[in-house]
Amino acid sequence: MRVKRRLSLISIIYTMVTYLVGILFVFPVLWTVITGFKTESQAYSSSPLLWFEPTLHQFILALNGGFWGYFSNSLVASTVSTCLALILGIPCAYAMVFYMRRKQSKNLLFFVLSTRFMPFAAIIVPLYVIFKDLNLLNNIISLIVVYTSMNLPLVIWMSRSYFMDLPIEVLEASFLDGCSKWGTLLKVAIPMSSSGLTATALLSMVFAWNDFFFAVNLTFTNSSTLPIMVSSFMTNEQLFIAKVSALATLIIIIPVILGLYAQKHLVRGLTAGAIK
Amino acid sequence: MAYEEGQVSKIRKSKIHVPGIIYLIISTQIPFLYALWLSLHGWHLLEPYLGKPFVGFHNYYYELFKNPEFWMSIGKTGELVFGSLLLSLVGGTCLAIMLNRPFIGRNILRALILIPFLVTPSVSSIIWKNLMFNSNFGMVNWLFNVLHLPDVAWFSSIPLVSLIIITSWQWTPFFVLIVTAGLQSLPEEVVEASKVDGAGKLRTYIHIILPHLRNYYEAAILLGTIFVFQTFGKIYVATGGGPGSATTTLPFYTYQVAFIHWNIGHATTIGVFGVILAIIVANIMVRFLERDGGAQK
Amino acid sequence: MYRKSAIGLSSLLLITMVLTGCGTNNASSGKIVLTVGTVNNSQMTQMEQLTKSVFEKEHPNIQVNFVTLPENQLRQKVTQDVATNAGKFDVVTIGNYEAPIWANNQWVSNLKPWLSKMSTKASAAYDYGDLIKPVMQSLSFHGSPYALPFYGESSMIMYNKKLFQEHHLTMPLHPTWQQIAHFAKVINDPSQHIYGILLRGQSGWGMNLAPLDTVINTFGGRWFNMKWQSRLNSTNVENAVSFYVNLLKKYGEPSAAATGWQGALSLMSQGKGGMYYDATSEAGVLETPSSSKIAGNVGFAYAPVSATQNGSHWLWSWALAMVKDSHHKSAAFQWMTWATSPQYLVLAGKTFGWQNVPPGTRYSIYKNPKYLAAAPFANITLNSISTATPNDPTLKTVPYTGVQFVEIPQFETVGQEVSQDISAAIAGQISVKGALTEANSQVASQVNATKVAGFSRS
Repeated sequence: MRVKRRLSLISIIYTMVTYLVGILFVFPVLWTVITGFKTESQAYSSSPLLWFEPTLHQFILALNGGFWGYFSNSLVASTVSTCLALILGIPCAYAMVFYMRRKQSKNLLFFVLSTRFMPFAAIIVPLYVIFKDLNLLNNIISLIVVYTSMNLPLVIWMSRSYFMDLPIEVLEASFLDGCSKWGTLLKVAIPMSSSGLTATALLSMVFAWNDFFFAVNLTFTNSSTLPIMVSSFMTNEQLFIAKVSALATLIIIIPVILGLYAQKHLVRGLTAGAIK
Repeated sequence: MAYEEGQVSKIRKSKIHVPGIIYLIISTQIPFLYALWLSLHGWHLLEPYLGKPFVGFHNYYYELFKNPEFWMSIGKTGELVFGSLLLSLVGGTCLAIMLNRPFIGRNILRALILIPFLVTPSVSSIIWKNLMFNSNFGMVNWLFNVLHLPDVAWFSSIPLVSLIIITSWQWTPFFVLIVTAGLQSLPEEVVEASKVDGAGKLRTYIHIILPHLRNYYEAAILLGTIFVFQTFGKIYVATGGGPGSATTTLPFYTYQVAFIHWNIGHATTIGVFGVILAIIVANIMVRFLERDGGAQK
Repeated sequence: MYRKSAIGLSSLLLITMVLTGCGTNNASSGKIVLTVGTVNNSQMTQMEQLTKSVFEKEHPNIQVNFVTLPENQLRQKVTQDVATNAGKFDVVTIGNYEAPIWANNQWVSNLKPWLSKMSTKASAAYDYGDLIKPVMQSLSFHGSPYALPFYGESSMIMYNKKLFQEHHLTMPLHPTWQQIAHFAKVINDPSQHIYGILLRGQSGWGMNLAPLDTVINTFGGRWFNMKWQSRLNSTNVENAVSFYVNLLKKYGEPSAAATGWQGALSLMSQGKGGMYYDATSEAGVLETPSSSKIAGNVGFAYAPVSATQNGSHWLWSWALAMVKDSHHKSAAFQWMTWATSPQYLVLAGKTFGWQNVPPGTRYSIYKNPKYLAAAPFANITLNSISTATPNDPTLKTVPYTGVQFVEIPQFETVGQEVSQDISAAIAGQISVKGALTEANSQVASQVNATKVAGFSRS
């Protein structure tokens, strides 16, 4: 009895410490959200101001500062590129798992991964000139093209690992039933790994949404995305902390929701072949 | 459960991967070949009257032997990747262990901890620079004042360390995810053994649990390397590569030479070196994966 | 189940495709659409609003689209665009550093023919002669104007009167750098988050090099001798840079090496700085009560000097230039002359308050009693701009023009590199001597007499 109580006391303390560490860890984000509800002069206080009258002023400022234009650019670029990456990537992964010799599959995977390793900075100048010649500069299509190729390796990598988990008997049964390879892919393989593929889609949306490099180099204001908006907000006027906090809050809502939703399946997909 | 690729052998040949691969080739290899071509030419955007003369391997020679900044940027990249991953690994492991025992609200806390991984990197940089590390209005320096620690001019006096802190803040949750998965996959005997053993917690961890987590750590480090290597938005927003060139990593340096110095020939050359470096790393990564695959069979 | 999600997915794709299509096609019937690149400071943002509410009403056939970006990003975008002939812009905002170089590269149009083509009435209303001469001169190349100034600035001392009173200090109208150092020492009180002097420390040739170059000039240092040999390792330069770096290290803002004018200005406006040496155009912000806690308590003095007056204060202008490849030059010219007209200044003053009128472009605004009443810094601004010496930037003769920059195409590169060395010295990573030795060799390796022949002063 006694031992148990002591143990539970320790475990309560341990739990409290865990909570404290966890909350400290996300404190920067929490603090940003809180600061978004302050006035600028409150945000510029030298000690943390916790009790204040919340105002929506900064959010209204951010929303009226062209937010929706950037927002729709971000949304279009990340969803369309994710869809394209899925459409192109899933068949690749499927073929790698089920139709290729091991050596061929490894080589292809190596190529696919190496494109993701390529420093984006290495190809930005050529991309700029190519998009200029195609008259696609400052056009959301250029971002879609780039994000698709940025996310394609991720999609292939992750869906490959989900497909590798599929029980082979079911697939063979499907073949014996006379299903074509497309039929098997669409009717058996994809539905059976749907939760993992959803996680893949969400993660690639998050990456596209969060991109800064291509957006800053390939677009101007009218097709720019939210991360660019926030960086230009910061140098805009002189007092900006509260305004930027409000905008930052608005920007991170979507990736945070998507990411938390996909959380469960991320590990399996990302660690892929490395862990069995 | 899992099985090797190529086991469904009914129809060995399939071309359904072709569109994706072609897309990848077009969208990455054409720009890369163009970059190769540019790297053999001199092209300075602000001096258009000089044209784009062919200069052979002069740009390569220049970067390798005449330009210490190039080497410095590679060094900074290494420090950033190594420092960030080390910190994320240690922090992620600690958090994962703390979160690995049942308590009320554990799932909520786990979800909370994932958030930094999802926050837009350039935004996280802004948050840290202005709300945390600002010398006058930042929370970290306020805390230091309360604890009677000296003020730290984060981005000014220890810029790379500050950058590493921000980066590892973002990547720690990723390690938490993966280490948690590893801990949950531990065989029952191992967990029991570590409880009964009576050995110190740390020793148990090092001698019994760590070996089981090795694969997980490797995967996390290798994936982390890809992403941290590409870090750009954070640097652009927080330090602009400075002070001096303290936070000028290879990707940032490439950008700087291209769009601040306007020297396209040099910029693409540095980019090509970046690709070579990347291929080496990718090679090592795939080796690792192959070795693990082999061990399983 | 999966079918549903497949349908959902494809319809989502379809919707976004349609959205993309809509986003890119905005061909409006018969209207001329101008694309203008501007810097996102408050005056330019106001100009954007007035263009929408006034200019477009008066000229219903013209629509002006703005690409508003921070200074460094704008410079990058605009240079990319014109240098690769991408043709996205009709009008770009450039500085007086860019104007001659871009004119030489034939990226922007000569405005002389356009100005002489104006009708007598329009010409009288525009009043070209009213534009401040030194500014106009700095925007010209071989005697022809290539850009019209939206605002002009020099540099000066702004100080916190309250802090000066508290410490019983008096700022002379023409201070020396030695006096400034003394004031900074007295006022500095980091424990209370009060800093003696705020200066730019962040790297960038338009950042820390701008104020530092004026210090180098007035200390008698120079970038090049008459043979275009780099002189950054000379004693005068070293003294100047040591002075600047030490001032900043001892009595300046914390994290100085990462602080640009934005950060320094916000510290100043929050009452945390004793003095601030920066652009005259920032005075209006400090005098605006809604953004500044020290509005009404700001004192102004001329840029400090040391060995020579020459080059002690800079000359900068953000100006509108017409892109050579623009297809709508006539509309572009119409808009440019509207935005830089004397009438515009009055309109802006009436709409947004006189202290925020774009300063430093026209003599007439400095005769406007309303402006003079609202802007206590008006005279110092005008005098500083008028007495800036871009053609004679320091004690000794030099082959280049420009006060806070060197008017050569290579300066963006070498200036950036030197400014990085300086910020490293401010951060304490290297010594000033080390920084300058490094800087000197970087400059020497990239600039020589043959490379810059076209930009030498005859």
